[in-house]
Amino acid sequence: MKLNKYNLLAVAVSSALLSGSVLAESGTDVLKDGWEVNGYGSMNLRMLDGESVDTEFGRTDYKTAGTHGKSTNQIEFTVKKHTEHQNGVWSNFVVRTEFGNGNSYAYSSSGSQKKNADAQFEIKEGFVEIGGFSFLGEDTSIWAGQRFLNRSAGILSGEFWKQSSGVGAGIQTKLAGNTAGFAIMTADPDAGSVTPSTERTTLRSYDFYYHGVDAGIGSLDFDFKYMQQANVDDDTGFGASVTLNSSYYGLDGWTQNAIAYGKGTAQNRGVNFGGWSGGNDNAESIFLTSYGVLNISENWQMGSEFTYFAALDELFTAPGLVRYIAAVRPSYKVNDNLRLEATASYGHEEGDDGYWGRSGDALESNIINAEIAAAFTVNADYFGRPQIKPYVSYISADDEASASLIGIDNGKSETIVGVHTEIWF
Amino acid sequence: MNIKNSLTALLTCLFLSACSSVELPSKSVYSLDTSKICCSHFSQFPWIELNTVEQVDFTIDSDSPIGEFSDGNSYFSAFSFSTRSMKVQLQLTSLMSNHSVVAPKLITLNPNFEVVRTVNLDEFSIATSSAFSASQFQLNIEIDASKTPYFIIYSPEQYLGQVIKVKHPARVRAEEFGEVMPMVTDPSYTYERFGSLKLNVNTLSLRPQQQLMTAPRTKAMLLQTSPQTSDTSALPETELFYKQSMTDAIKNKEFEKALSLLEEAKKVGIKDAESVFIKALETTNK
Repeated sequence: MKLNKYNLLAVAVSSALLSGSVLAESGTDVLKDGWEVNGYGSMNLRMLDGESVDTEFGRTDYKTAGTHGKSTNQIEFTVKKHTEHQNGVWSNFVVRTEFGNGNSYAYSSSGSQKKNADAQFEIKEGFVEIGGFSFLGEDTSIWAGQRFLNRSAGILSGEFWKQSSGVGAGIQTKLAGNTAGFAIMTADPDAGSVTPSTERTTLRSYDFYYHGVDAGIGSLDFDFKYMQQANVDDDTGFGASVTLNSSYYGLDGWTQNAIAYGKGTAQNRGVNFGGWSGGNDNAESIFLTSYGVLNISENWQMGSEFTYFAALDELFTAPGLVRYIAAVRPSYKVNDNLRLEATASYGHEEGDDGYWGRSGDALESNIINAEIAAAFTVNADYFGRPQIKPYVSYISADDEASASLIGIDNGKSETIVGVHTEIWF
Repeated sequence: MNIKNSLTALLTCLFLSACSSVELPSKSVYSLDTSKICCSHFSQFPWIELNTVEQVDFTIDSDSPIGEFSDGNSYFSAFSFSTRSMKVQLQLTSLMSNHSVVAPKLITLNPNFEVVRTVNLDEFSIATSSAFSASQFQLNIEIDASKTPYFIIYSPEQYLGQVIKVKHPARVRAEEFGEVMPMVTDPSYTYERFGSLKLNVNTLSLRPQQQLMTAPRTKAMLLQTSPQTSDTSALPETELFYKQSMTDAIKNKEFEKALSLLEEAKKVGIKDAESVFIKALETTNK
């Protein structure tokens, strides 16, 4: 038989089919594939004169550092699908869901919990990251979707001061051995609003970051963000921060120390981008923070935080606004099942006369917070860290006007008794 | 409840709980008695055969056999790959729990039971716990099961008693997901003889049958993959292996095993298999 082109084609197809075992080892073969599930739960039972109350007692404004925050029934799930292929390409699919962050009502089992429009079931993150492409370099990855990018939070205030939270896309790689990245993030202030305005005021942030630069005593992270907002008069801003990750001031432990500057749209600590961003051209702020954990001994640890956040001109429309907090939390591990904690903080807030309509005693606030707590837990190093923590928190303001600003309606001080249940898994 | 009452209640509670603190006794490292060694040669190890795809949870404990290795006597677990496997992805994990962990070492052996590759502890990575697994030593390797069909897992004496401190999983997670850093103490684990381990075997490519015929292997290998009939005569090593195994099985009164071996021997073309079988039977009955 003479081989014409059809015969040759048939032979080629047959041999391709027969060599299935060779094809089965192609570069896109899955080497590793699996799901990881992590999560967090926070259920805070706290009462004030027989009432559940809708206040954080100034915690989010750097006035207190105790356990008395909101979230009666906050549950988070983070599901990550990680896949690795034979040619070195890998991918992550991350979904983070959350229910109840900031809820203050005590819910029962009556069925639908959607009577309160705030903080219901939400998707907080949903993004895909792919890396290891041979043509981009094995250290390069690209991502797109909704996520929190590069978050950092104070250890005792619990406040996130650096993040880009929204829908976006980005690329990350290694430059001179350090992590370098660029991302575009967007966020709508009206997203999820019951009564959104007809015109969208979408925020954008162009993030540039370079992390992990060796500084001898630790590593430095540099972040720069240029922000814009649609359909507003003052529509731009920028912010930058430098973070030093180091030991606990030369001792055993760790600290994160940062300075940040923000202007205009980026007034909120410069590098804290999300639906809450925005500001006029007079908005300008400086932010300093230093927090960490000192390992004193096998059983003793101490957490501390000092944070200063102030207007260089105006901040959140308040001229001369200054906030700072100093807080410590010694902690003693009695055994694998019990940890004792004490927290003490001093918070201060002031501004120019008339800021946010305040005057007289309300112009300046000095708040002292003292708390003791006992965290009961299961084997502390296994699976996760479920803990039930009864606490007694005492808050005292310098005057009744200042106390009223943080939700204390009767007198200058308040004692909150509660049980905070948390689990990380 | 006023402040005084609250504080009193809390402190009483703490005081009572503090009394329950337990200190774990430290365990001394002792050498294993040579008289308890199970086998004089790797070929005599109790091999556990794996499937082409399989997950095995196992423990190394006081019931495990003791073997003599180049770095001392140790309890061990010994496995052989499926005879159908060629390229295999192997994941070995050793779980950290209750302050202890087995610090594993893995050796692979060729069909002649000679050590080909040694994987020491420093080649294992540490994976911190998730919702479904504890913190663990983890090893992911690819092995050509046709060249190294056997592997042994044990913990050498020199590892024992060492302590490793790993990052608390809550810290790892907080860093990865950008959460508030928790105030936790990083847990420590002592390397001990006994513990829980897991094997995950995934066959990436199957083994052609031609190769099977040339390698003298265990009973199961041929049981699973031999052709129904064969005109080719067996290699002298294969012939010797079958005759010896059959004789041993009959001597040990393992008649089912002996019959299986006879069947297989016939299939691989050992012509006088039947006569060897009968002769062995007769000898035993004497």
